Amino acid sequence: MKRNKIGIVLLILILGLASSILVSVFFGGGKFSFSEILSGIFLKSKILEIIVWRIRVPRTILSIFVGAGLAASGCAFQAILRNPLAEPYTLGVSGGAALGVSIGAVLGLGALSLSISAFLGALICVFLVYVMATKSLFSVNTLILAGVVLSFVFSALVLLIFAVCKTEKIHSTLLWLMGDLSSANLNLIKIVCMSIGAGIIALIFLGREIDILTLGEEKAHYLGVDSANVIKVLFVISSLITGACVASSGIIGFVGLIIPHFVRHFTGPKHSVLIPTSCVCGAIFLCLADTIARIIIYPIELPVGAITGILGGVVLLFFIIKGKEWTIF
Amino acid sequence: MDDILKYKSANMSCKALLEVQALSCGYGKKEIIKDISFSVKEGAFLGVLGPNGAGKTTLFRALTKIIKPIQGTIFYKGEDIIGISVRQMAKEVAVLPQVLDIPFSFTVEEFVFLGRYSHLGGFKKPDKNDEAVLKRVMDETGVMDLRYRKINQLSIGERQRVIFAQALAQEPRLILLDEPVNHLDIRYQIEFMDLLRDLNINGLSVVIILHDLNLAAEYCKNLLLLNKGKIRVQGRAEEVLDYKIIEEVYNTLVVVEKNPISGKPYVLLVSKNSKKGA
Repeated sequence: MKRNKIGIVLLILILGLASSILVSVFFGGGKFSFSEILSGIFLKSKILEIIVWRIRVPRTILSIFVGAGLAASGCAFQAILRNPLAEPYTLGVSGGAALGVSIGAVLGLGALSLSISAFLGALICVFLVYVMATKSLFSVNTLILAGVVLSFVFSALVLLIFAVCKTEKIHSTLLWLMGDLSSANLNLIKIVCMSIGAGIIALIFLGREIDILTLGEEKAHYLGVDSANVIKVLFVISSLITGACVASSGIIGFVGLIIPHFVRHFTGPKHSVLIPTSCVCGAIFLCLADTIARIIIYPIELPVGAITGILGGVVLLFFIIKGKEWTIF
Repeated sequence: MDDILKYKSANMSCKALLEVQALSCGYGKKEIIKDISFSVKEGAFLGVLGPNGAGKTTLFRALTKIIKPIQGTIFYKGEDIIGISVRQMAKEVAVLPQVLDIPFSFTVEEFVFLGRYSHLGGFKKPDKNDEAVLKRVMDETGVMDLRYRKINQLSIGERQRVIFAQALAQEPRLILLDEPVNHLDIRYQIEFMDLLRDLNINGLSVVIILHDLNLAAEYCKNLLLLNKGKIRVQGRAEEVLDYKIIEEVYNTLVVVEKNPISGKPYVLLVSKNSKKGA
C-alpha cells in the first residue's frame, strides 16, 4: 500500500519533469512555432537543429541537474547542520565562488575560465572551512562558525573588488551573482552534470546515516554512526555538488532552501525518499523558472535567481498562510 | 570480530561486563573524573548518584568513547574499548542521553527503526528478524499504537518511551541511561522504572544516572555515589544512603528512613525553616 503510494508519486514527478523539459525546449527567446521546433528536434532544418540541440537542450539539461544538485545538497546541509534554514550556501561555498568570479572578471577572463575560477574559489573556501573545523574539535558548531566567518570575509572582499573596479566589468559579475544558466559551455555542462549526478547518488546511498545524524552527533555515535567522519564525507560531497552548480550557473538562491523544506512536508524526513524526491522537484522548479526567465520580457533575459526567489517565496508563503498545520520542520 | 566477542562472552559470563580501571578523563586538559575504578557485572542494575557537576555524564561519555581517557583503561568484556568500532559498540551498549533534540519529525516507526543501524548498516534491508525485534521493542515500551504518529506531536512521556524503544532496538546487553525520568510525572516515572526492571530481570544490564535518591534506592541493586570526580562510596542502597554520607556529599540536611512497604531506605529533605522550628 505504502509502496504503491510512493510509486504513484514518483510516476507523477517523472511525468512532471518530462513535461517541464518539453516546455523548456519548445518555449524560448526566439519565437518559433511548434512544428519548427519539431523539425529542429528531428534534424530536418540546420538552423533549428542548432538552436534546439546546441542551445535549448543543453541549457535545459543544465537547469535540471543544477536544480537537482542544489536541492540534494540543501537536504544534506539541513540534516547535518540540524537546521531547516540551512542551505547549500550556508557554509560559504557561494562566497568563495563569488570571490573567484570577481577576481576572474577583473583579470578579464572568458566564460569558461570564469567558471573554473568560480569552482576554484568554492574549493578554496570549502578547504579552509574544513581545515578550520578540523583544527579544533570537529563538530557541527565549529563547521558553522568557520563557514559563516569565511563567508563574511569573502563577501567583504568581493565588495572591495567592486568598489575599485570599472562598472562594465562589474555588470557581468553581478548578473552571474544572481544566477545565470546561459553562459555555460557545452563541455563544461557534461562535466558538471556528471559530477552533480555522482554526488546525488552518493548522498542517496548515505541516506540512513544522514537520518541518524539529524539526532545530533552524540546520539548518532551511540547508534553506531562514526559521526565526525561521516559528517566530513557529507560536507565534502555536498560542497562539491554546490561548487559544480555555482561554477556552471552562478549563485541561484532559494532552490536549495525551499525545495527540501517543501518536499519534507510531504515525504517526512527520511532521506532515502526525501533526497530523490527533492531532486526531481528541484529539477522541475529550476527548469520552469529558467523558461520563465528566458521568455517573460524577451529580448531581455532575467537572471534566473530572481525568478526562483520570487516564485519560490510566493509559493511557500501561500502554503504557510493557507496550510493549517504547516510547520517549519 | 563478532565471533571473538561471543566466544569471550561465553568464557567470561561470570566476569565483569564493563571494567573501569584507574580512569581519569575530562574535556581538554581539565580532569573531571579523577582516577576511579569500578566494574559492572552481567545483569547489574547500577545507579550512579552524585551532586550536579560530580562528573556523572562525563563518566558516561568516557564509557561510550565520546571522550578519550586521559589515563586508565575501560574494558568491555575484557577488551579495551579503544579497539572496538563505534558500530560494534552500538550493538552491545545503548545510551539514553539526558536531552535529545529531534529537529525533524520522523514517524515513531521510522525513528525506532534507526536503532537497527548498528545491525543493518547503510544498505541492508530489514529482514524478518529485524521486523520481529522492532515489533517486540515497540510492544514492550507500549508505543505500538503510536507508530504512525509524528514524534514531535507526542507528549514528553510518550516521546521518552519512543526514544527508549529506539535504544532497545539496538538489542544491547548494557544500557546507560542519563536521568531518563527527569521530566516525567510520578506515574510515568514508576512505569518507566518498572519497565526497566522487567528488562533487567530478562538479562539487560543497566547503569542509570538518577537525581532522585529514593527512586534509586527502590530500583537499583547497587549504587555508586560520585563526588567531585571521585567515588565516595559504592554498595547496596542501605550502605550508600547513610545520612552522614548524603549530608557530607550534598552539603545539606537530610533524614533517612525505611520505606514501610519495600523496606528500602528513603531520603527526606529538611528545609531551612523547619530546622529553625526544631
